[in-house]
Amino acid sequence: MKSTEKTNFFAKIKKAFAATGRGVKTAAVKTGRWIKNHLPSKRRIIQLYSALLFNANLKGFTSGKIYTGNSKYLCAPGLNCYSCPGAIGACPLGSLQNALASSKTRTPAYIFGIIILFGLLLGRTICGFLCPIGLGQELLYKIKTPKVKKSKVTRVFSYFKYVLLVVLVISIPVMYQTGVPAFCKYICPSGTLLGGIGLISNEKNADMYGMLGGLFTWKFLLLIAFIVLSVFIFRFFCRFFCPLGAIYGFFCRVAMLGVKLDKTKCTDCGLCKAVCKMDIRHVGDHECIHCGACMKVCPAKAISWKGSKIFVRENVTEENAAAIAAPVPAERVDLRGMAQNASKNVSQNAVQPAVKPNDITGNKED
Amino acid sequence: MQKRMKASFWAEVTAWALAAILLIGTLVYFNACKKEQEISVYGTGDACPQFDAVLYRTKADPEGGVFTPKSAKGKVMILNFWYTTCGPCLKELPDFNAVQSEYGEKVKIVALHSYSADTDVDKQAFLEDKFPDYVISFAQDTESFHLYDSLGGAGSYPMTGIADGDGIIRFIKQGSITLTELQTEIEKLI
Amino acid sequence: MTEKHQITLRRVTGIVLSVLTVIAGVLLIVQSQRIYRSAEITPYSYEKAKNALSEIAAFLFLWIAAVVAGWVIFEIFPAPTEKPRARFDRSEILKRLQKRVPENLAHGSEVLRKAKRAEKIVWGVCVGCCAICAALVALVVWNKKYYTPVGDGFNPTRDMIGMLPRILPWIVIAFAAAAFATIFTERFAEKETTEIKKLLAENRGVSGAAGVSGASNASADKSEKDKRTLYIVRGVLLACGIAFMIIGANNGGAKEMLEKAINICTECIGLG
Repeated sequence: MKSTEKTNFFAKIKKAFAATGRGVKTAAVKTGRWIKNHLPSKRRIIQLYSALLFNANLKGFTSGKIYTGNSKYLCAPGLNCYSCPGAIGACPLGSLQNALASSKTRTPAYIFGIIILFGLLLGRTICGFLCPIGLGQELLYKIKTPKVKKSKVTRVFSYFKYVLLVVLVISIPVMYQTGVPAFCKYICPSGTLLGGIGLISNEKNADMYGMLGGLFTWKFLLLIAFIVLSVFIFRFFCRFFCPLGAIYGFFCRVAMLGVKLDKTKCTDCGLCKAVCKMDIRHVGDHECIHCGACMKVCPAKAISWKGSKIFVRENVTEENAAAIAAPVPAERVDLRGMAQNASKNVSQNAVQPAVKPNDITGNKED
Repeated sequence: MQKRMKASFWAEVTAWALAAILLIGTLVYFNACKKEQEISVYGTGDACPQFDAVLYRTKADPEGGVFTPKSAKGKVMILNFWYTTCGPCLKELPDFNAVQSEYGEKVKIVALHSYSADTDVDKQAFLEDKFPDYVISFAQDTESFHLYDSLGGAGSYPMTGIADGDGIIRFIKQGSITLTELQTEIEKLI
Repeated sequence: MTEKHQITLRRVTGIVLSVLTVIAGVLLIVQSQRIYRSAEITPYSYEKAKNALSEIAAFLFLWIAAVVAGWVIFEIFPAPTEKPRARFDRSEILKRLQKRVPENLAHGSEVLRKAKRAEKIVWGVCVGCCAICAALVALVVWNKKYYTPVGDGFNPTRDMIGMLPRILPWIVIAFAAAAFATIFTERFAEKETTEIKKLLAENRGVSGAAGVSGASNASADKSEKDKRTLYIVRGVLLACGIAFMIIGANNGGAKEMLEKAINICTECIGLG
């Protein structure tokens, strides 16, 4: 009976191989699916891309010196301190304060022009896509702690950033007329983190430590407070303190990019406002950062990207806008759904329709 | 529908490709292209480099003129770098004035205005308006002898450098300096 | 693991991470305070900063490990996906109900009238309060008296610290008033809602009027006009933006911005 034993033996080996093969295949499929579900959304990629693009002077981090070339004639759109060793553009808020600080001798026309163009073309999509501080806060919020939910009271407090705008960004520099950019100096975490810590963490700038004193201690305390609270409160700095967000919010109606609500299709179900993590009253108002989370849950498909008709044809005049606006033949169907928070916050609806033009936020909880 | 989706797929690919090219191009431009010329930097222990700085007409120098380190030989020479719209620079100038009055002939303080900042503000008028009674000298740093860069200035203002009676640099500080600190350093060298 | 255990595990992870995060923040602040109070002319130095950081480095690594562990736990035992549900505040519910109530009924009800009047009073007081606070703040912030001029002991930080107690109370009061008004409105909304529900129940069959605007033509015209205004405003802003940039480039504003961006006024970024 040797041949049957042999056949049995080979059959067993074949079975074992087949089983292993199946096991490996399931593992691969599962890993593949896990990776697919955890891929960063397009918005996240654009955020990372722009954080790198506007801080492209990487050699500044090794040399400890800031970039002093002509690209700083232009501003980076987000809150990216120009004293960061990597920064290649100026900060709009810092430039605004400095321009206002010499407004008696020179009208601050240049920075007004830049801010108007940014607001008109991009509006608060800058907050949602291009600002590194916004990116930092969203990443911190991903830490799995209980979260503080928004409410009507938080919407009231969201008006505090207008107070900071009027008092610190406009009034104090104008009143002094001698170079006191009060917001940069006393509050801005971008300055402390990117500029201050970015410079003094380099050993070559060790003698800069001699100038640190009470002001740095205060700003450091404020920075840590912002960081810790951003873990619990979504975009804590953006919602309550950022005057740049306040400025761009003024352009919410006229901005050419962003989310818009088709009122004829809207059934007033309120899902968009429930899912939104910012303190909006209507989709696309001055608090909206155009992240697109509401687009995925609207049952009537009434929310879409503004300007989508223009950008369906390939239009690459503005690099980022082209990356944002080109429509995708959507294919990602999230069967598992996302539920990343411990809180009772409502999460995204799981099932996506088959074809979804202009979906760049993907299937994540962004 | 298929065709439209195919077209938009290629549009998106092109967009991403262009974005990637932009990013890589930017990174290469800012990191790999050599642009700066070498400037020799002097630190503590080196002899202070020679320079001719044009003086502004103030109470200390009614005729203006030119300042050279040679004219401060035998005195403790203090060089402060500032510019007209730098708040902290303006904040510490009164301290320099007080020190000049206090030590009289033993120190020579020259406040050099930065050449890379605010070049079209009328500095003469600014000085006459804000500091008419100051006994320190005000001069102008220029791109030709770029004293600020020579003493290791990295772009942050204010900056203060102190040289002893023989013209050897003894102290350089980036950032604001307090009155007590200034006096301590001067006492060391007198 | 049973469902209940999973829920507890997730809760415990959340709480532990919160505590660790807060402690990490507190430690960093304490370390910087300690350096600041080490009472020398220049308290900070590179060595001191490095030492202070290495003292708490162990805890910071623990925090990072906890964050990663928390993420892993939530990957293995994810919280169940909730279908998105619209959460309505009471005032939202009220607004929707109000649409269904005809005008005459609304006027007839004593309760509704009183509630509306109370709401008006609360908001009126709030707006008045905010206006007064804004004026008081403006009186301080736009008053040259609180700003020391250059050459005269110029010290903006001292000025700001001096101004702060004069403006902070008003800002706090204004926001507190607005917050209280919001909370009170919710309370009134509850009363109004019960009343309206009662009315609707009593008066079944009475047509609800309100809401849907009849002529779609009218709305189409309006949206056409809105679109035109939008395009005009956009055009004007675009022209203004470009014009301002050109003016700025000419009058030296662009150069000034470059100079400010390449010369670090270190106190202006908080190194001071």
